[in-house]
Amino acid sequence: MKLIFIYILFVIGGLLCIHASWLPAKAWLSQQLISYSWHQSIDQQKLYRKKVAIKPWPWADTFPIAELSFKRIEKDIVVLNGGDPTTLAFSAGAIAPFNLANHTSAFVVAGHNDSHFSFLEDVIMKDVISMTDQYGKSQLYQVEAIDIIDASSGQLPIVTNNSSLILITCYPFSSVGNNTNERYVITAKLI
Amino acid sequence: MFNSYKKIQFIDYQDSYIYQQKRKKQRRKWLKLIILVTLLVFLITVIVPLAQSQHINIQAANLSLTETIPSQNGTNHDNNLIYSPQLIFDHPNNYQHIGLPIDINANVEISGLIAYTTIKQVFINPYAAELEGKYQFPLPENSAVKHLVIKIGDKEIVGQIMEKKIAKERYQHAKQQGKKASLVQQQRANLFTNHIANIPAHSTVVVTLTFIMPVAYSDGELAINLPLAMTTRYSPHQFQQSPAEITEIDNQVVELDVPDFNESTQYSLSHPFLTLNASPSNTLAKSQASIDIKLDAGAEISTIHSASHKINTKPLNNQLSQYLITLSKAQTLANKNFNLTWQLKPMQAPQISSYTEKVDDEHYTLLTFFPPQTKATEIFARDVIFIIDTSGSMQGASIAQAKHSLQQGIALLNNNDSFNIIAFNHTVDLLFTKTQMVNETTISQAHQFIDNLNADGGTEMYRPLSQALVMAKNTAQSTRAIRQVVFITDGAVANEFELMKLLAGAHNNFRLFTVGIGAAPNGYFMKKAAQFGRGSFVYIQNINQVRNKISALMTKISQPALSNIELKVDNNIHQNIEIYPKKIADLYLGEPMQVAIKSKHPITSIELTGDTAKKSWQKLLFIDDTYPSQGISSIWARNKIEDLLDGLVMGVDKGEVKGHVISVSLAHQIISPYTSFIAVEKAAEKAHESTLKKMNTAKNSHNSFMVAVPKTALGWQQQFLIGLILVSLGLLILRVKSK
Repeated sequence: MKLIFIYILFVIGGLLCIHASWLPAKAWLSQQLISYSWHQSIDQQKLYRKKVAIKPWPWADTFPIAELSFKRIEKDIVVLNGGDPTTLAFSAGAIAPFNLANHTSAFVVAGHNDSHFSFLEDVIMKDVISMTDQYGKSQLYQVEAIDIIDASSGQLPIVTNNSSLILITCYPFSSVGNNTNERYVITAKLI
Repeated sequence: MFNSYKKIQFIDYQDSYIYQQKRKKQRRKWLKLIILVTLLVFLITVIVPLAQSQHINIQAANLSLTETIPSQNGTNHDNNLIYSPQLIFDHPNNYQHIGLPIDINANVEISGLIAYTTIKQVFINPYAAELEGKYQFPLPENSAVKHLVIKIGDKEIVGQIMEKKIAKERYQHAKQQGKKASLVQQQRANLFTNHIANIPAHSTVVVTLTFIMPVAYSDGELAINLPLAMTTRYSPHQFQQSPAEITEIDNQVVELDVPDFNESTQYSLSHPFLTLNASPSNTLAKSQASIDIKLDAGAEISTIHSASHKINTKPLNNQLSQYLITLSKAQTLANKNFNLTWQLKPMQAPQISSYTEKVDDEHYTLLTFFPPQTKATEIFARDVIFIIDTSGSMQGASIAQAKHSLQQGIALLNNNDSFNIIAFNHTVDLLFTKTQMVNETTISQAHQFIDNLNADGGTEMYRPLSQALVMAKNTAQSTRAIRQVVFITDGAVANEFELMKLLAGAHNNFRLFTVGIGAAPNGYFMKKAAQFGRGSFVYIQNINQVRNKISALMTKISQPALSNIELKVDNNIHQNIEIYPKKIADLYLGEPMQVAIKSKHPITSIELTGDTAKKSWQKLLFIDDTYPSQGISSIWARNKIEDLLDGLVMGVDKGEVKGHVISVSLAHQIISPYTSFIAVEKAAEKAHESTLKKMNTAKNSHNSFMVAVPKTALGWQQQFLIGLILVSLGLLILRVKSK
């Protein structure tokens, strides 16, 4: 009887591990697909000279809209459209209505701190971030503020017409749970 | 002595009973384990997603608790609000999508069986950012949108009916110019939607929608239902409940904006945008939702009642057929649809009322026939011919339904009636050579005939139909008896046109009622055939409906209140009058009907003739056009378009029909298969534009916008850790036990 109990422990533990590692695995895999579809759409853009939105996989309900690259720490990430939980599971997502990469309003991107946006920890002040929009145009941003804010109200005030880039992720980075109320907010201004 | 080792039997100790048992036990254990594991895997695959969804629900619940603005504004997320009139914002927070109107002005003009409705709805974008929106309005069934105007600050979006080709070009053109245009889409049946781009922060959106809807009629009771969900009025109290920063920032903006604004232009202060900015709370709190209904029932009204709201009624004339209806003052408009029902005084004779409208030097007259509400004591003698389709396509459930319908129909005949049955596939079988009076022998013969019917063979409809039209009447039947043809079929025919021509060319003393059977009958053919035959179409979907539907049809056709209706107007004055529908159907109990007339000169009187059960009927109707109604021409145009399209069936040239339909459709702004409704943005004068832009930017520079923060941690490490702990715990216990 006791043996069965032990086996149950093994099985549950193993399954939890597998399930848990499925999340980062999915995040990694999807990022590969997304990045592939992104580069494809940029290439087609150059060919046909018009906006093309290619879905990373046929049943996706979102599409890549911009690529962020962090020069100093050598990290690239393709950002998806939308800030809902399903989108965030695949990559960082731009939150509507701040999902227009046209440099007239803010561009707000949120991502998980234990998958796509884990490297935000390494971003420091004055870092240069380059954002490539759907038309293949790049724009440079420089980090001007890093804040840790309390988001227990579920809301974050954002200045609407300021053409800055705002990156949001959960804080603290190395915490084990997912129920934190604090957010790590990086604000980068257009240069 | 020596030991013979050879004799020693080496016993494989593993074969011993004990070991066998042990192995058996072990095997059992493994079996158990495997079962357990599969069970666990199953449980986890099922339970984990379930638990996760619960988790999300809890999250959602928490989120909605933190929302103050929309929940206080009455934006509850009940399912019944999903299709209410609303502006759906492209707000990042799902709980702030829905914007219900803060003010509604509804003007309804009811003329008999139609309600001409103009609804003006005021929405605001309560958020501090420019958002996109989608306006939606649930149109009552069978209503037609005539006009749409959306005003947003300096923009005006006007919707109108255009020829499909032009509409498409216009749409492309507007799109290329960077303007927003939208072809109005039908998302769900009867849900009218229109996209609105760039709604500035804190601006008002005024939507004016004009449409014509039919009045529902049942048993002498008429009703309309207006979808009117709206929020409680915007008040400062609610404004303060939003995060404090927003209010503060807003007030600053007001101080900054107003003087600047007055200097730059002579912009009218009454502009909603400005007034809203100056003091959002005060102006809006004054707004008064209103519903004004001018009810012209066409006959004396006995009661007016609204189940949803308190209303004031005021009679407008002595006959008590016209009323002005408004909402009671103390009444706040709740989040529910407005409905109004009125009852007509029971009438002994058919009542005909007239409505007139003058559009572009042309006069339109609408006659509404109300049947008497008395139970029919006088019953028409009828000469009924049932035609039943026994072709191969009717095999299975269809033929069973058809036979059942036929038996039901025969059971409902009276002794005054005469009848016959024609069964056809590629050949025609007659029950009798001519119609026979209803009596026990003929009925039992009929039942026998029906029992022997089998579905097989081809479909040749022309012959049975033409036979039914010319079949000799029984000599015992009175000459006044109406020939009624009840045609039970799935309508799977190839020669529709030929049949329609037969019906259209036939003389007038018959009525054709079609009964559609089976999963997918040819509804179009049967509806049109019934229309040509001045009858009606019934669709029976499954065998359970047979009893109700057939008995309803048989009861209905046994009691026409008025048949062979004809209109006569003075031919000397009115040379070119157009009457639609061209073939006026009979007036049945419980089914009012309308006839629309267009004439060059106002019609002052019409002579109506017809037949009631026992005698001929006539009436001289005087038409008073001092109080014109709205929407009459639209009804006429709708009927005309339908008639023109019927021409296609009769073999009229397609291009010709198309041209006529388009011209009628455009002139009367009634949608047709060749036209579409398109909404194109029209920019206002440039001066306004620039000032508004200036104001917008000035305001925006101070504004911040609340963005919903998503959860940005997967928490997989936690799960992984728990898993690891469990595994190591298991190992530990195993270790301890083995010692």
